[in-house]
Amino acid sequence: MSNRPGKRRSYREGVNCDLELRPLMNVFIVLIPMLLMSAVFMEIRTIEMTLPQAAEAAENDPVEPFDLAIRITPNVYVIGVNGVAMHSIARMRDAATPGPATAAQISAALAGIVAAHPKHDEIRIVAESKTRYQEIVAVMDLARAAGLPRVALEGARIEGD
Amino acid sequence: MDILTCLLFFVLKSFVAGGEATVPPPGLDLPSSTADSPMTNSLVIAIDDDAILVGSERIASVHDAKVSGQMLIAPLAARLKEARDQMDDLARQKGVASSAANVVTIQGDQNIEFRVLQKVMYTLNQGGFQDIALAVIKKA
Repeated sequence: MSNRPGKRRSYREGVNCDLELRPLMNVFIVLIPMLLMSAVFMEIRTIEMTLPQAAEAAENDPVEPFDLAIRITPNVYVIGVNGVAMHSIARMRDAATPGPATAAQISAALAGIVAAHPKHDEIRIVAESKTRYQEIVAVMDLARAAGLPRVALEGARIEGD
Repeated sequence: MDILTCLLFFVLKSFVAGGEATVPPPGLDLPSSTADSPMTNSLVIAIDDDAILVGSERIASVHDAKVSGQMLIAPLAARLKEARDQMDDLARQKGVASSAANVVTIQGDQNIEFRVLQKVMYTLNQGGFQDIALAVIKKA
């Protein structure tokens, strides 16, 4: 029927040029959910610390003694230098992290001390045995932001604990 | 089709650009922080509500560590000694200084008490692991 002389069709019209994408799409549809399910979208970072060695601690006595510490107690954060309390900032009991206002107060207090002692970049965080890890990390963040990247952790001694 | 291709490349890129991929054990919520140091390849100690794990191996109970009067967690110390010996052997075979492999990453749940973390750190220090990296989730 189609070979009638009056209705001849060109060769191009007779070939199907469409790409067959269905198999490729099927592969993609399986591959993408599999990759999405196995992907971890949380960005994990680290806080680097170096634990002191007993011999090292005895050798490295600084010429100018400077001991900056922030003590986390049930009701207050006490920031002290060389054992003298300089700032007491109220803490919400059982708080997971310092609230924005408390964080701002801690940052301001630490920044003031850093400005007065620019050569020192170390702070001790003295936490109680039941202090939550998240709160310690939050205080470490505040110290680092204030220019105190070297952090030492210490446990507070509590009677009867 | 175009959307699928873009999505596929995005997902693949997120895998490649992620660097050292570490997945915390299920049920362990890392604390959030502004810290920006990347993860390094190291021995991983995970502390969740219930157990202390080295890699994926359960080593000690958190409850036992809490109630113990000693700072040293004995099962962890023993496992660390094994790990340390393995690292020293590998370092000897590669001909590098063994101190290069002394970093330990602690993946602690955000709700663990400081006394548990303190005891783990003390045990690490006694085992000769002075360099510690605390794993955190980067704040957005």
